[in-house]
Amino acid sequence: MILSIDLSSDVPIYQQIRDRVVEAIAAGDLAEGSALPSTRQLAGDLGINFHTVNKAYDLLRQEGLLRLNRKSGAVVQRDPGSGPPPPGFTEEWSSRLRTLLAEAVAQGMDGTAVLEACGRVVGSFGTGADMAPGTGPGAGHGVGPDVKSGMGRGSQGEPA
Amino acid sequence: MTTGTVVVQEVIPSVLLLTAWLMPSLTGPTLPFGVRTPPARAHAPVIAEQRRAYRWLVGGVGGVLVAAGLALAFADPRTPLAGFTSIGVLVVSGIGYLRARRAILAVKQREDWYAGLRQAVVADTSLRTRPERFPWLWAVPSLVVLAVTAVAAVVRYPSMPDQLPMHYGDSGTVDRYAAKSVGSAFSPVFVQLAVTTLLLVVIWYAFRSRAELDPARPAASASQHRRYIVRMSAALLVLTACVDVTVLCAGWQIWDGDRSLAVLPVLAPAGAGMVAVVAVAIRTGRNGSRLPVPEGEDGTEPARTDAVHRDDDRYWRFGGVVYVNRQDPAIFVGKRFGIGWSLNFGNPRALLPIGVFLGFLLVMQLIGH
Repeated sequence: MILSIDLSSDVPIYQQIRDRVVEAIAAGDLAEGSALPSTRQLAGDLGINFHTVNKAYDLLRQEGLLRLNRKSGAVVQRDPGSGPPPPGFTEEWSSRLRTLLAEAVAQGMDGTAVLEACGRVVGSFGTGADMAPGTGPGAGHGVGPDVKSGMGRGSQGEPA
Repeated sequence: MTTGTVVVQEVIPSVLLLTAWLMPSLTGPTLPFGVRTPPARAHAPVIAEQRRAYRWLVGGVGGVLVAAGLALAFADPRTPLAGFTSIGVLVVSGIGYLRARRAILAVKQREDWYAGLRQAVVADTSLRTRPERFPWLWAVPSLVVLAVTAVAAVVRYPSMPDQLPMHYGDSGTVDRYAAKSVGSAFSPVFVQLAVTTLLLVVIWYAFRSRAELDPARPAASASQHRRYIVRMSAALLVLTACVDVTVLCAGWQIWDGDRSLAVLPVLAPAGAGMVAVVAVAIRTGRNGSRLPVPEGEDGTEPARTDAVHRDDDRYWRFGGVVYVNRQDPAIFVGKRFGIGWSLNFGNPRALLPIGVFLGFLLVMQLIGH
C-alpha cells in the first residue's frame, strides 16, 4: 500500500497511519495475511520517530486488525472477507458514526446528500474485491472525497 | 612518469569537473543545490539564475585549472600536480554550490515558498514487504579477483624477493621495505578483503535505505526507486571489483620487488570503476528520476498534486551536506547534492558504519607498518 502522511494536518501522525491502514484493508489493498513493514522500517521510510509507528500498530492490534509478532513483524489479521465484526464493535462504531453524520447535518447538508456521500464512500471500497487503488485522500475523516466512479453501484448504498 | 601516467592523473580532476558541472542537472528539479523547494517553484527565476552562475564558475575556473594542470604536467612531468588540480576543482565547485544555495535559500525564505502547502511524507510498504533482491551476482567479479589474488600470492610466494616494498612515496619510489613473510606477501589480499567487506556492508545498507517518494506520484517514484537501487548497487559492486583489480596490480609489482610503482595500471581500473558509477548515476538520475515509468503505473496514480514533499531543510546542516535528525531511525539517506548516500548523524546506530570505517583505516595502518 501507499502510505501518505500529511504533516501539516492537525490529525496526529499515529492516527493517520492507523486510518490509512484501515482504509487500505477496506479497499482490498491489504488482505488477511498481508505483511506490513516492521515499526523501525516504516518509521525509517517516513522519517519519523518509531514510537509513533508503534502507537499506530498498537491501536490496530487492539482493534483486531493487526497481529504483531517479534519475528515476522506486522501481519494483517482480518479483511472484509474474514466474517462478521467482533462483538461490541457495531455499537461502538455507531456512536462514532452518529457524531460524524451529525457534523454534516449540523453544517446544513441535507439527508439525501449525506446518504449519497455514504454510498459513494462504501462503493469506493468495493465489496472486498477489485477496486481502484488509492481511495480516500486523507481529508480528515473522509466523508465524501471526490471518488470518480461515484454513481456506479447503487447510489443509496447500504445506509447504516 | 610517462605521458600515459600524466593523462591518467588528469582523468581524475576531469571526471570530478564534469560531475560537478553536471550535478545541478542530476539532483532533480525540486532540490536545487540542496534546497528543498515545492514543485511549483521549480522554475523560479532565482534557481535558473543560480544554476547558470554555478555552471559558469565551475566550467570557467575549473576548466582553466584542469587545462593548466594538463599543460604543466606535459611541460614538466615531474611535478605532482594531479592532486592539486583535483582539490582546486573541488574547492571551486564547493564555493559555487554554497553561493547558489545561499541565494536560493534567501529567496525561499523571503517569499515563504511553503506557505499554505500541505507537506507530506509517503512510504510504499511493498518496498519492504516485497523488496527487490540484492544483486549478489554483481558481487561475483570482486570475489573472483580476490580469489585470483590469493592464488597468485600462493603461487608466486617462493619466487618473491626477500625484501618486499611496503610503501611507495609521492614520487612513486619505494620508501619502506618489509621482510618476506605471510603477512607482507599477502598484504594485498588482506587489503582487498578489508575493502570488499567494507564496500559490501555499505552497499547492502544503502540498498535497504529509504525510498524518497514524490507525494504527487508515489507509485511511479516507488517503481523508479526499485530500479535505481538495483542499478546503483550493481555499479558500486563493479567499482568494488575495479578497486580489487587496482590492489592486485599494485600487489603484482610488490611481489616483483619493483623499486618504483607503475601508476597507470594501478590507477586505471579504479578510475574506470569511478567513471562507470558516475555514468550510471547520470543515466538513472537522483532516486531514478531519469528512468522511464512503465506504462500504466503512472496512469493509476491518485491525483494528490496538492501535497508536496516535506520541507526538511532544517535537518541538513553545514551547508546542507550533513543530515542530523534524531527522530529519524534511518541510517543511510540519499544525498541531496551529489551521488550516493550519507549518514544520519543524529542516529546513534549510524555510529556503527562510522566505526567500521575507522576500524578499516586502523587495519590499513597496521598492515602498512
